[in-house]
Amino acid sequence: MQPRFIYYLLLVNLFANGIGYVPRILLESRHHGVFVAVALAWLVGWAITTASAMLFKRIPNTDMPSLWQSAFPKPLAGIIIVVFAAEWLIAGTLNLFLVAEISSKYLNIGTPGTDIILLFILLTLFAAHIETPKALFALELSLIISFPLVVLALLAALTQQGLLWESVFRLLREVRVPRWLDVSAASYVYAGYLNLAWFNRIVTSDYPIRWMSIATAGVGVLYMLFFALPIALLGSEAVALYHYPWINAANALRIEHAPLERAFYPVLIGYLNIAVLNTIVHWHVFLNFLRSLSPKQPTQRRASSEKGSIGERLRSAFGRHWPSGVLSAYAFLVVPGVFREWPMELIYQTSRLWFAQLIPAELFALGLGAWAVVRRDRSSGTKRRRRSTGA
Amino acid sequence: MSGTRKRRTDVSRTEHSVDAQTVRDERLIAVQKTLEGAQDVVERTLVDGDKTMELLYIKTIADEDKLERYFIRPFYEADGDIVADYLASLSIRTPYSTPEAAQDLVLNGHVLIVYRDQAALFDIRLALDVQVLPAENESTLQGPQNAFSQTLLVNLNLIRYRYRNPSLAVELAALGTKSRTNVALVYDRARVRRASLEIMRQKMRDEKVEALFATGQLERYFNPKKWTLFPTFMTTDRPDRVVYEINRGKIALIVDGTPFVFVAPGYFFDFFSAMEDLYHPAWVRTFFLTMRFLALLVTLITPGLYVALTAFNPGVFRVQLTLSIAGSRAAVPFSAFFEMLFMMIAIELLLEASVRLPKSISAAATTVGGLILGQAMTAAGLVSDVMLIVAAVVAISSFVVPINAMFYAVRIVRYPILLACTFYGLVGLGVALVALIFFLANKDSFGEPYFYLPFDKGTQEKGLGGA
Repeated sequence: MQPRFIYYLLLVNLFANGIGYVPRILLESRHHGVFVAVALAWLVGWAITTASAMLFKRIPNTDMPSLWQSAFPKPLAGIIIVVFAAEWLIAGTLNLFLVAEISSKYLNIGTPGTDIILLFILLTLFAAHIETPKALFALELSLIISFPLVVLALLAALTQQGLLWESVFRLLREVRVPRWLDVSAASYVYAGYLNLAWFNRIVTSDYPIRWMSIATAGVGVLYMLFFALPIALLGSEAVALYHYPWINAANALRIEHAPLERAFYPVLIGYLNIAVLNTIVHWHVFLNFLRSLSPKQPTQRRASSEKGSIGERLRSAFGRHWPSGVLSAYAFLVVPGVFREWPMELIYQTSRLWFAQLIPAELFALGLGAWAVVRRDRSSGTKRRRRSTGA
Repeated sequence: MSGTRKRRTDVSRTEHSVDAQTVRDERLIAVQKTLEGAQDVVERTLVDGDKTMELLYIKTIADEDKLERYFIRPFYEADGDIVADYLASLSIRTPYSTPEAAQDLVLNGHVLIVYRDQAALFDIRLALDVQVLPAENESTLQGPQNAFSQTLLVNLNLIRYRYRNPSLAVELAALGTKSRTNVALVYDRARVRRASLEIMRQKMRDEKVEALFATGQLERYFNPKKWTLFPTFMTTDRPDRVVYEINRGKIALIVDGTPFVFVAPGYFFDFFSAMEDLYHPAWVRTFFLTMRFLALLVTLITPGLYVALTAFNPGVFRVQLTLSIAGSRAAVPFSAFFEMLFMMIAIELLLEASVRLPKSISAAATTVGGLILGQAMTAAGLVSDVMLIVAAVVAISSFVVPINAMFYAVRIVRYPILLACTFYGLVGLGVALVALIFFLANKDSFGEPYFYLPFDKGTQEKGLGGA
């Protein structure tokens, strides 16, 4: 499939996180060199994206789990896959919490958040299960429908009168050494590319590396704008008073001469859709990481086992469906419970922890990938040598 | 070589001259037995001197003019040997193999002729439905005006006439365990997707319909799932569309006796292209395509949006608009959901009635239903004015879908979206739309993904591979 799908993955991640957790974490430390953090994060994001693009080009049509499995001993590969599957699962879940919280706070004011999160879980579970190419097609169209709504927000904001750009410049002038958490959190908006850890198996990587640099630069500029707009709209001090700075900033946007009074609702719906898509992508990756742990059944054997005894059939069904079982149990039992019991502040704390480990985890994954490629090349090289000496 | 043949025919002649009148050929009798009870089966024996010719055909589907011209007159006018050579030279001749095969051909308008112990079948099919009618189901303003006829051969002719390509493949077959309807599988050998073709052939082999008269039946029988909503293959009666799709690598299945041709695989977005798009300049085409998708979006989300905006988030609109909607709803005793539901059902009934009624009455029905009933409903305070406008916009937008099967599907899929909005408001609307997109993307049509944006031809041609 075409590399254009990479851009969708990047954009989904950018919009979902650029509006979600990241602005609040960054704005808390707005007087501690936050723009330095954003700039550093751009560097980090660019470096990681370029490095992973180079890695993915080395392994065309392969996903990370099968790369690890081909290079490392089985138990080790299994542990690595489970660890990174958990990363993707948590990323999706955190996103889902925020979407449900925002929907119940701003859109469906009467409906309990648990109801809404169950609705989102139903959708996400169904959507995460469809085949990878089809998931990308659906992602493409959903994004194209939701995208104009968010762009509308940008346009409405940029044409707004009385933007306080001065407060942005004031923050820009406060150059300090940023907190680690800020850099790590700000670098998350570039992480959409890492979804290729799974999607690389179908997305062709026949594009020049510099495209990725351009794309990252584009994401960086968009993000700068995204980050600066709430500050310019609400002011450098007031912006930190809100739990959801972007949502409140959008609430302040008026559209002249339109049937709609405020840009708030279109933006909100666009954001919610994109954030749900982000969760779908993450859970899809999680599901397929787990699936890659099941021993691969050749189609012929599977067909014959379907005619076998009940025990065999059960075992083969279990072998195929246990990842769905794990994800469904988690989604229906753990997610609504946590969402119900934990105060939002605790969820934010968790997200901070998660953001803090983000860059090391990304580097770790990349390092493992690179090491696996080296190991694989070396072992295939020795095999080739052995074969040639044997011949 | 010719000497031996001559001797053999001489022998058969002597045999026949003895008992030509009394003993009939057993091959002919075998076929005749299977057709017992049909009074339009004609069995004739022509005798001229020592020549005898036996004929068996079905009067109602065979062309007796042709029979006269090609067989009876030459028989009386020519010598015995010349008649034998003449019969062997005819291009419409099929040699006799088994009684079953012969019976099939006779049922297809062939005549079985036994002459000098040589039995063969000749195609003298009577074609009644050969006239080509104007296309009415998908009309275009500028573009080919004719539809397919109801006869397989004429339809094949119409395709060949428009697509003079040596790689055009035509496979003939008979479907329907009882009706043995002639069908033709037409595709471009160089472009067709092998996997789809294999699936198509497999489905034709497995297909268990008894009597086949329409392509719509195939849709039902070819589909593995019983309850489906969205059409995964197209039926069209426009030759230009079929040729266009064949050129894109699709497979057309023509069924004898119906002007509608089955085209597979069908992709979601193909159902929104009108043939006219090809005949317009690029800007016009793009504009109208955009309009069509806008109409699709409007017809899908507007009912739900109305409910979500009146019941959940009245603050979305400008205050004046919100007030005027609320004001017009003030007299209405139902919730927005029921108001919308009543109106949508009323429009569905109106549409259904106007399709079933004769043309002259349906105009009156739409007037009564649309104008008078609508006016009366708002006057009685059962439905708000704004509601009427919304319902009309939704109905008009749904008419824009060019292919009928998709038009029905779109009409039905509005109800689940309306329901989602009733319970969850704008959140429900977003979720329902994303769910619809993923649901569509999950579908297959003849081994091909059903739903994707045709941004590049490469995705189609290279195949998708992976997962």
